[in-house]
Amino acid sequence: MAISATERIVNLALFLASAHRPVSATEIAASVAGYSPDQKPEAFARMFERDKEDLRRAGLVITIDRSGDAERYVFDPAETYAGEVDLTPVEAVELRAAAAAMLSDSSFPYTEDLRMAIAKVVAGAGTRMGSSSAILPSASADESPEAQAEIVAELTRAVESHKRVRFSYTGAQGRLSEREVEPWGLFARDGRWYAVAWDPAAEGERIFAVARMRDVAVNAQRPKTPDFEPPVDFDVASCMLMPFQYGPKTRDAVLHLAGPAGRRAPAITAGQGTLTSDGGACFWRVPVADETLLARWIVENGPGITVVEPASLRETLAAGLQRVAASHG
Amino acid sequence: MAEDAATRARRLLTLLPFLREQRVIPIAALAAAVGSDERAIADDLTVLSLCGGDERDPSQLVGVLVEDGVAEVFADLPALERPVRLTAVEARALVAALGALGVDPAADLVRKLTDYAATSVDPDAVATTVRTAFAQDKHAHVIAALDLAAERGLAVRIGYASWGSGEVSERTVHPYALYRWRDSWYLLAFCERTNEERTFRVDRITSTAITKTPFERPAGLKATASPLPDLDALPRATVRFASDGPDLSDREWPGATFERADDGSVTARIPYAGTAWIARRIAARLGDAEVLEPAEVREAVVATAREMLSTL
Repeated sequence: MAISATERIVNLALFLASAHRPVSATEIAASVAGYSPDQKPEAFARMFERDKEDLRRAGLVITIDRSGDAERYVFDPAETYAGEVDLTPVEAVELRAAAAAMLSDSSFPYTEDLRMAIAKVVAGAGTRMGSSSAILPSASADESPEAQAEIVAELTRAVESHKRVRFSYTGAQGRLSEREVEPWGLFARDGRWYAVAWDPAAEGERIFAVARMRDVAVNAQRPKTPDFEPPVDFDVASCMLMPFQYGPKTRDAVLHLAGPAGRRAPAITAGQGTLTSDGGACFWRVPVADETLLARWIVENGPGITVVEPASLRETLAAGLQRVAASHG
Repeated sequence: MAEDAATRARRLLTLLPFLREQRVIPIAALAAAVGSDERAIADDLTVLSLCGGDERDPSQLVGVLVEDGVAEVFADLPALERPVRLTAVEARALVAALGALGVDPAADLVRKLTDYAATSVDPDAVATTVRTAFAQDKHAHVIAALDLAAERGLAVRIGYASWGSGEVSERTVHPYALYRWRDSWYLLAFCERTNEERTFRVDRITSTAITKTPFERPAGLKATASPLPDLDALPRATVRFASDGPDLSDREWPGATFERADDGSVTARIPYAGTAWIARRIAARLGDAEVLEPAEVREAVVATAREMLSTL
């Protein structure tokens, strides 16, 4: 019976891990089921290289011993095997809930990696996860969830390997353009995935909505050589802003949040700016790029929100609300 | 998409440490432990039983037999019986999944898991390049408690903050289901206080205490992963927007229909459950939207605008 590629890769892993000594390619070809003795040396070499890379992707550390005439391969147990992981009961339940939710979320881009990770952690923690019956399959990203997941998985590879990405992009005005960018990070917000990238053509940092990308292709030239280096202090969290904060120039606004808005302040301010307590209320200082959008936000999240500064924001808000009252009065 | 050989081999290798732990393992338990289904696990173990390090030595085969829903290990494992460290992509997947649950990247749990990863993995690079949620949504422990109570069929005492007033009320609920929709988590539960099924936003649950009181989950419960009410059953307001824009969509105004006129204006028919919600959203347009009917929504819009004007 022919031996499948899956069996051959597992056989190779078991052979290397049980050898306890450096082994040559010749020994591997002769001992591991799945490599044919009739195979041409070049065909064997290609297959073996691929299998070895697959094992490295599984987490096995295989080094090369070049001390003799021919290269020999050594399995490194200290670097391969994990220690124990000591989870508290609450952490174990959190992990189970995260696994149940994301393994059934069609917009989650790392399902297979998560499955492997959970299996390794559970084995190392010596705990039983059990299955969650309460978490329903869902899609955190609600527009073409599978397509977004697939593109984000591809973009993640580019972010990790620092490779450029080309894609077609439908801009806000509906115009289609071809882009080639240097992707730095990815984030999900309100059911949509976004990519943060340096756009050399625009000479600036840009945020692209993944659902608007088509024909995404990572630069396949010299895959192990990075195309760019992202800024050393880059943190994608700094790009996760509120809608009124995106723009070339910002200045600070200060709002007073009282009553229900004060009680909800940590939730509605989404980690942006600085909250300072004022008894049961609070002050919120936040950088703003578009005052009209902030005025809209104030109305949507009120009552209880008043403008401390700047005066121009108060005027924008007052003029807008007067128009609303006049047209409906 | 058909699974490739490398992915399957990777999965098979993750099963080996479980076979060391116990000699007889129910397939269902193994499937639950690794987040897979029983049939896939049984197939995987069958393939694994054909694998071994050296084809000339049958004693090196993985000695596992699958029968009647149980895996029986009848020989010592040839190698790889200990769990392998997480790779960078696996660590990233875990941190991203926990992030979506609201676990902060700086939490102890994340640190423990990144410590479990290969020494070549940079934990900072994992957290600074991919984010699935805002860090301040620290309600993972609430979701975990509700999930546990649902599994055990026990009622939970919760504190719940009202959206309008922010006041916290105590109530006992029977947790039926949890789901994530866009950025938020929701709980579908029977509320003893109102004596009806209700959807609660998890970020407004301020406390949880699992009780010892069991509850019965109703048979045939139709739980969908969306917090939206039955939109067809709601009244509709007719709203004229002065100009079109990407925010005039079903996503922003669930269940609405839009009619676009030659002059660039858009007339929408928008379902609403209460006037407060729609009035606030129309007032927030700051004058580029006008409610044509019904009168109750027009009046609510004026009241909202005047109330805010009085506090400026």
